[in-house]
Amino acid sequence: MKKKLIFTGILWCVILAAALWLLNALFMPKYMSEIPEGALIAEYYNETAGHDVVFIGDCEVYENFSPDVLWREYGITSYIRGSAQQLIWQSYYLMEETLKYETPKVMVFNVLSMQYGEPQSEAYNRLNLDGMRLSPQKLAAVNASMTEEESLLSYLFPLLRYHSRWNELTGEDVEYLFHRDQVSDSGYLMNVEVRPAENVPEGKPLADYQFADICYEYLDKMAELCESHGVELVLVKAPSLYPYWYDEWEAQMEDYAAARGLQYVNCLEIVDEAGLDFRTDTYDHGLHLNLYGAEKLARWFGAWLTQHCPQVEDRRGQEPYETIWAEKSETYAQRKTALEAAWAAEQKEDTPQ
Amino acid sequence: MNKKLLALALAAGLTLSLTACSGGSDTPAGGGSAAPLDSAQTGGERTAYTFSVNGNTVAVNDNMADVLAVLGEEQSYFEAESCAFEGLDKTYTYPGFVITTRPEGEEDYVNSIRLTDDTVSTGEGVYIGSAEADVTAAYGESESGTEGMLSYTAGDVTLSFILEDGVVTSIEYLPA
Repeated sequence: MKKKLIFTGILWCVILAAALWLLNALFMPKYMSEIPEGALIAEYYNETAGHDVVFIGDCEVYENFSPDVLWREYGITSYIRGSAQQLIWQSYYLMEETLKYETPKVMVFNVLSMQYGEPQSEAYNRLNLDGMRLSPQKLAAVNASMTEEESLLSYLFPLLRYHSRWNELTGEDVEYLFHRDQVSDSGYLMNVEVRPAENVPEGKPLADYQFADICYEYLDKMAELCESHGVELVLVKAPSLYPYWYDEWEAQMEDYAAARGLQYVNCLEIVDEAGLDFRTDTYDHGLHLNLYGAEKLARWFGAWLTQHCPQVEDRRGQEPYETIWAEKSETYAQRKTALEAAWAAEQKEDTPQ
Repeated sequence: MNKKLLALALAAGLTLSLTACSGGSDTPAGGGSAAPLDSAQTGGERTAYTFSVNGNTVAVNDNMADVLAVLGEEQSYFEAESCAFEGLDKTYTYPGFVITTRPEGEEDYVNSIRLTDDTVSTGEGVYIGSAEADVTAAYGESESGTEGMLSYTAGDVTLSFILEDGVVTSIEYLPA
């Protein structure tokens, strides 16, 4: 009798746990047809081989560098662990987490997030953190990122946060209950649309141009973490024209890199050299590069990496990379063709008859 | 397919209890309140700061469609899509000042008004190039503890002055 009771109790616990797990899967936003940026962080876990270069940072990495070009033209294996408005402490913990899975030769960190010294918004936190696997790094990232209204518990049990989506659930929530489509190409989120940069506003005067102490603390931690793993940390500022990158910020980054002995590349200074044309190479008026711009920048950056980071190997002809990247390149080309067709159709629709 | 049906069945049962506390949608989104803030007097003795140009008054949180109706076409226009979320932050540049907006639903509301040269001034007569003493004479002691910045809040608007070597280099109306 007692045994039966225990068995029944355990059985109900298992059923309850399974039900909660399923509910969690159902209610979590899927980020497939809308806000694909929310799917980026989790896609990394599908990778089957390591990378020599890992990019970490905000939209200025996942929109501006094409890993496919780095592979095809230089044999550089790379991945972008980027997400929307990724804050520097989130970048640090992603870097720490990445080093649990692989040891790249170079980590490239985009420095735009140095401008944010405190948590910004729950909406972006969710895009950046929900996709991370449960780990000490995720818990630390959540703790560092939460705004006043957020709780750690809601990141551990997202159902607490998303249960009120019950009246917004769609067929997509069922379709992607147990799987997701790949929205990126090695972390690069492709966009082929063209919207020229015009009338980009100058930065407004600031009372204080000094980056926050906490940002420098995390930058120090990144440098130490990379050093302890034998990874070279390279700092970059992507060539986005907006938000404005102040001369005072640039000076701080140059000073920091020099003091730390790090390589720093401000891509705003190599726009012409890379052949970037903001009339044709941006999809949103200069905030982000489109595919054509990202390919040009990757072409320039691949040459820079080859020259300045000789530890990064040309892996062409080596297995398993050759096979893996052949498949990746095929997917990339298919996505490019599909997006270009969709954009051409949209253009045709918008053209007055 | 069977897995999905099982999931849906379990979901339907347990959702009722879990959703009892839910109000409307709380899915992360672009942010912002559902309705514009009231820029009229919201408590205290002072009304919110407003900016006047050519006899037209513009205030933070005004509907931008109404502002455009009175100010006319801007000198230049720039729009920036926020990363990931829908909605455009728009920048309208006029001679002497710049207005930025934030999207709320289908409408755009004034998010900031920044004076950019000395052809325009605040309602209290301070302009780019005024001395720090002019600011404190007009507005009193600053509420800001930030060096190089004087700021004053009235109603739902903060008026902020940035100074360099004791001279005003930027004036901006922002939501409080």
